[in-house]
Amino acid sequence: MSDVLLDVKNVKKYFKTPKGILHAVDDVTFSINRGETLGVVGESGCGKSTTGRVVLRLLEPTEGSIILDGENISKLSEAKLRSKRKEMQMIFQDPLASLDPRKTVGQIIEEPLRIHNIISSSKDRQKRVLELMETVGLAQRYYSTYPHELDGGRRQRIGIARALSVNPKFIVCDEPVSALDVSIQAQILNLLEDLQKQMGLTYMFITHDLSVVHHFSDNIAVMYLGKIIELAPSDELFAAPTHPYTQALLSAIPVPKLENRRERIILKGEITSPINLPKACRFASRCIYATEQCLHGEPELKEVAPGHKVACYRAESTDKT
Amino acid sequence: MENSDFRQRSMFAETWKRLKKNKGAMIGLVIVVILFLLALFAGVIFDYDTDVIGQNYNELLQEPSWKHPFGTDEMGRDLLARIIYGSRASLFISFAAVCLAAVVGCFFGAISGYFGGAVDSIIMRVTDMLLAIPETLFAITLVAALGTSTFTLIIALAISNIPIFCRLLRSSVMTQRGSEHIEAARAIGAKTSTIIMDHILPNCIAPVLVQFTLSIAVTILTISGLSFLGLGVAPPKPEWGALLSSSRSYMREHTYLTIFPGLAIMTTILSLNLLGDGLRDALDPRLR
Repeated sequence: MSDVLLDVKNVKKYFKTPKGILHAVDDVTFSINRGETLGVVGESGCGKSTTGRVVLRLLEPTEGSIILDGENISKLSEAKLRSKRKEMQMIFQDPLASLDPRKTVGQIIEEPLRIHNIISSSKDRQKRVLELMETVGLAQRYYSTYPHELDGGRRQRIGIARALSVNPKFIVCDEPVSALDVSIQAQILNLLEDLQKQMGLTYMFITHDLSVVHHFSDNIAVMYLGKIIELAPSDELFAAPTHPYTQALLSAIPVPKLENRRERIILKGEITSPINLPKACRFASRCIYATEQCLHGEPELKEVAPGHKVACYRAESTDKT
Repeated sequence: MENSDFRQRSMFAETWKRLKKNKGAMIGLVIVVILFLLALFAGVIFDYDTDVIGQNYNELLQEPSWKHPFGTDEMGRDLLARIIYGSRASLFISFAAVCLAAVVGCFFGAISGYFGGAVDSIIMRVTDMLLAIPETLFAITLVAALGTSTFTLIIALAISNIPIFCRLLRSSVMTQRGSEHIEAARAIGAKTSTIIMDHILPNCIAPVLVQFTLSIAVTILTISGLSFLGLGVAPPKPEWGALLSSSRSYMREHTYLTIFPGLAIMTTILSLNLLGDGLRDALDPRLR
């Protein structure tokens, strides 16, 4: 196996709210190998975006350690963290909101280069910006246009170029295609894939779209209410989903064949509130297999097959069925 | 779009290009510039001692004529000369006060909005205290305590305008702070100061500009009110509000005495508003 680039251990992120403590990310542990992609899936509000932001320390972790390329970044000082940001970047969900509306395409892509003083002469900087624009497939004539004048796909390309400008090792992609048209989604995904091959990038790919992660990720982590409930190699997860929630998720992917209809598992019941959680399996209230045991303890993430971890009592006791 | 233009258009050049297309704003700009030039070169056009404060009992209360385009007042002084000299006091005091208020208010507003928490609470409570005191009353108190002078007046007016700017910027900064492009700026490693100066403030400038022109207008009126009460600019020095108030007793027979100072105030405020609105639109690349 190749070496580990990102190692996240027992990371927690709690928010204080008037009603109590909100467990946005609760004891999450995973690692990503260099040059690989970890897909993080889950429904809205499950903490996947928060995890991405905590990993980059855009949000301060409440607890836990984040080790990027051998250096623990969870304790770095502000100044050191700023320079470390050269190595880790982020691609945002909404390409328009994540670009400063008062800056031109050139200025936006140039900014990281200026901040980290990577290229000091403005002429060389411009050359590099044009190069980057070519890499991400943006025509040079857009150099002095504003983001609002371009379409969604091109805006996202600006965001990608900005992230690439500092030659990062690791990029968190926070639903980079969910705001785009389906036809453009494929273009952007292909671009991200090509860039990964060319530059040896490592991705943490956050999405709620399972069909997108399948072909894109090496490993997939399924999150539910701030916890990773299943973590497995992509093909394994799709072939043998073990956690009831993962099974329900996968059954929701539409199959484009009439004769090959799958039985859909419809989840009933409400999501447990992430505030002041009881000590029970978080999925128990919606789980069709829930037993007495599930209501009295929280299952831990345990390996059921090589590289395949699940947090479910059912997977522990019985073999996968 | 020019295909080969990779030059980074500067914000100033861009704004100017867009401002030029706005007729109203250009009219406003021309009038404001003329007003400033007149105020600046008033001494060249008129002699202060003879034209402005020199009393001439042979020409009391004359209707507008070629010799006195705006007529003369009850002491035979040329109204045009007095209005032009009066613009010095009105414009200088109001601009100085509002500029000061805008700078201080925006500074604290930005800090309050960006950092939030205890800092925000403290700044906001102080602002609330200041907001609770009526502008005129506050100015009267300060002038009464420190004596009538231009400086006191500027300080008094500035302080009462600070909370408006502070609140305004705080709310804009708070909206901006939560937006994704600020997070993106943090993600690329920008410093807090860079984020505030480079990303937040430029996006907050529109409401500040509009408030600036409004505040100038209100301040000119407040100065007039204070002069009317005898706390603003002391006679015989002319000031628009003072001119207006002194002409009150002659209003029925000699309407021009009230009309011209009133027109001067109105024109200034109107042109400032036109310019402010135009600037706001020109500074936003999304409106083109």
